[in-house]
Amino acid sequence: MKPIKISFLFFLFIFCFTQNSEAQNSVDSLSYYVKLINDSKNDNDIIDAISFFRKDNVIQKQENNSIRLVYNLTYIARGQRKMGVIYEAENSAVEAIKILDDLEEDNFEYKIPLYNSLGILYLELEDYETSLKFYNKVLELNEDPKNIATIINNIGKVYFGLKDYESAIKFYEKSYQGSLYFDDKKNTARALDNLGFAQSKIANLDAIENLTEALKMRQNLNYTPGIIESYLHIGEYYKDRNKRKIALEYSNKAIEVAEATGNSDYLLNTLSFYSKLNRDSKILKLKRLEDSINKSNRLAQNKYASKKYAYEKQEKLAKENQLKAKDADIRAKEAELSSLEQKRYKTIYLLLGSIIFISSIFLFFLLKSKHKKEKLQQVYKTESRISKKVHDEIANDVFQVMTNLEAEADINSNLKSNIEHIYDKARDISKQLGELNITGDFKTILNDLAINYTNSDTNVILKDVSKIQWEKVSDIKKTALYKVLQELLINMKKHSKASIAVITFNSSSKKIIINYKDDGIGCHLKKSNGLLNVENRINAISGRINFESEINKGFKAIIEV
Amino acid sequence: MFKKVLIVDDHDDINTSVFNILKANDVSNIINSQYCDDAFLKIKRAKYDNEPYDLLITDLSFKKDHRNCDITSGEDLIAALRKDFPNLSIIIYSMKDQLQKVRLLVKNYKVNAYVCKDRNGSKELAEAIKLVYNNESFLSPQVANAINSKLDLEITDYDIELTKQLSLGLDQKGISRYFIENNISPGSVSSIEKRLNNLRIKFKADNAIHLVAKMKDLGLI
Repeated sequence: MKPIKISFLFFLFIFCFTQNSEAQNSVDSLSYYVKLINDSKNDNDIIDAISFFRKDNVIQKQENNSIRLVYNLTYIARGQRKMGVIYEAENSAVEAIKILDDLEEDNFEYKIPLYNSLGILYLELEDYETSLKFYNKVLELNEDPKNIATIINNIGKVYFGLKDYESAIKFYEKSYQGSLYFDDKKNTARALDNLGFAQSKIANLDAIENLTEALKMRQNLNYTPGIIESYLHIGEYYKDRNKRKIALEYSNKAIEVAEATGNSDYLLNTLSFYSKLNRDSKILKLKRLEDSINKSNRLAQNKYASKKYAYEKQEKLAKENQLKAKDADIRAKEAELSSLEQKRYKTIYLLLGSIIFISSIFLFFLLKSKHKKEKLQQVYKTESRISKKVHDEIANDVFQVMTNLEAEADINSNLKSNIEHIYDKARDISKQLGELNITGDFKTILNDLAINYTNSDTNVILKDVSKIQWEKVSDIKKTALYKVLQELLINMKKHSKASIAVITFNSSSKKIIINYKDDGIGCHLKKSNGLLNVENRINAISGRINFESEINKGFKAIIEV
Repeated sequence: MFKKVLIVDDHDDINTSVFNILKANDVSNIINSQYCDDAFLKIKRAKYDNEPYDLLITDLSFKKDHRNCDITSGEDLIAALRKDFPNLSIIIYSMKDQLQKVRLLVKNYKVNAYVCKDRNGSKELAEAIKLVYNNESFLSPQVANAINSKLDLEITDYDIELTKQLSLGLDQKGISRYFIENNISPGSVSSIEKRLNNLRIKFKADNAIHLVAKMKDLGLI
């Protein structure tokens, strides 16, 4: 049975978490009073138990122990129902359910006995609809198959109350089978008794057999309340069939057993049945009147609590729904907003990402070209420093020697020429590496270069130098080109014995193509130091250079930048 | 002759050499300076003292040494002086022979002479001093082309076309006809003759046949 399971659960709970002796005593007395209510002999037992639970609830309320409060109220309700104060029982059960409703957890294992109690209460109040509702809830929440038989039996009672005996029989049969399966004798007997009683109402032939069988089972179990019920049901069976004498016999038997228990409820029930068998019309009238007054009193008073509960619950639900709706509305709006925002952020991130990507590529190439440019500039700077050093320190010193020697008449003129040769070489090196001021008209600068290497032996001719738009060529390229041409001309002057050197300029789309050609003696193409320098300079500005030369066929170079 | 001359050169031997040249030309007051900064101050001071220099002989390139100089090159020195001393005669005596530089100095700073330091440097310098004293200018032969160059080193497609027609066997009259027919100008016989002479000089050719051969060798036609 559920309450036992719960008390066991609770016992375990208390045992595990509170080890002090007071708690132990409390648990001991708790289980004692639970027993007192379940197996109460008379009202005094129940009153004792209820007053214990009430006192305990004062303590539990202070400690805010909701579960224990519910537990106590469950037993209070059960006690009150047993005492017949149904409206108070209902109040207690409703109070317990309210506490559970306020808790965050489901706690259905605590709700089950309460719903069950309420089912019983409403059945007694003949509010079958509500009763059925609670029983169905119990069936829904229940997880223990052993309890199903009891719940179905209770549902059968509801249909019985509704005078839907066919349905009642179906439920009782199910309950009987279930109890039989779990070998629950007490419940088997009860289900069988109820089945027989329902069958008796529709003149089913099995009725009396089932009723008698149930009585026998109960007698074997020595279960007094069951025996009383069986007697009353069999009595009614005979009463319905106008066998008053046999009915009276069973009535008397029931009164006898009830008197032995000392339970006033049982006695009242048995005597009430007895009075129905009475033929005195005045007594019958009294009995009917009494019943109707009791009933109307109950209905008037007792519905109050459940109605109140229902009202409060509805209001609460309405409020919750309102809040939920509001919440959902806000959430939906928030979601919409956030999705919009996310979309926006996505676009922004995408945009940002691509901007960063593109600009990093751009930056990479920019830095690369800048680095290259800086490197080249560094090279030119270094070169010009070396040039200056050669110029100032070597060439100048040689010139001093030369000047001094020139004044001496008796010095071999061969020696003088050699010194001059050294001087020229030093100046050539200085010129090759020297700083170049390319501001101004580059055409003039190139022309000057050609003039520099034009003398009585050699003419340097430029073709179409005016055709190139030099202002569109970068300084670095111009510098490199100048130095390359200078190098080629120095080589020409030194080695070629050429009389004509022609430098042809061409421009195609973005490139400048320069052709150098002389009519000198030519050479075997070895990568002499000078040519290597030329190549390096052109490579540094991402250009190309090709040399062609054969002995006696002059020297040719094609430069593409 | 010049009365007071300042020599600016950081090489003692050259200073001495120039000093001797000046001496030989009867210049008595010869001062030398190894730094441009000093030279600048000396010229300023001389003017202040009412004993101005009438000739400056300077190098262009100076070695860097322990001294921090404001004026580091002969070019800068001349640029700084020229405003205040428009009548000071200036002779450059340098190893540099870049025409561009020479042109700049002569045109912008009215340098009176540019003498290149080489084997004939001393002789040229002596000549330059005399010429400058007589209000004439002097440029060493290497750099003489910097100013008013009669040297035309550029050739054009016109010249190539001209030689090409020559190589095809046309004479000057034939070329003239051909040019006029094809709207190539100038097409007159006299212009063509002038141009051909010019080309012969440029290519050091003895005659038209030689010119064609040379231009063919050079891959121009």
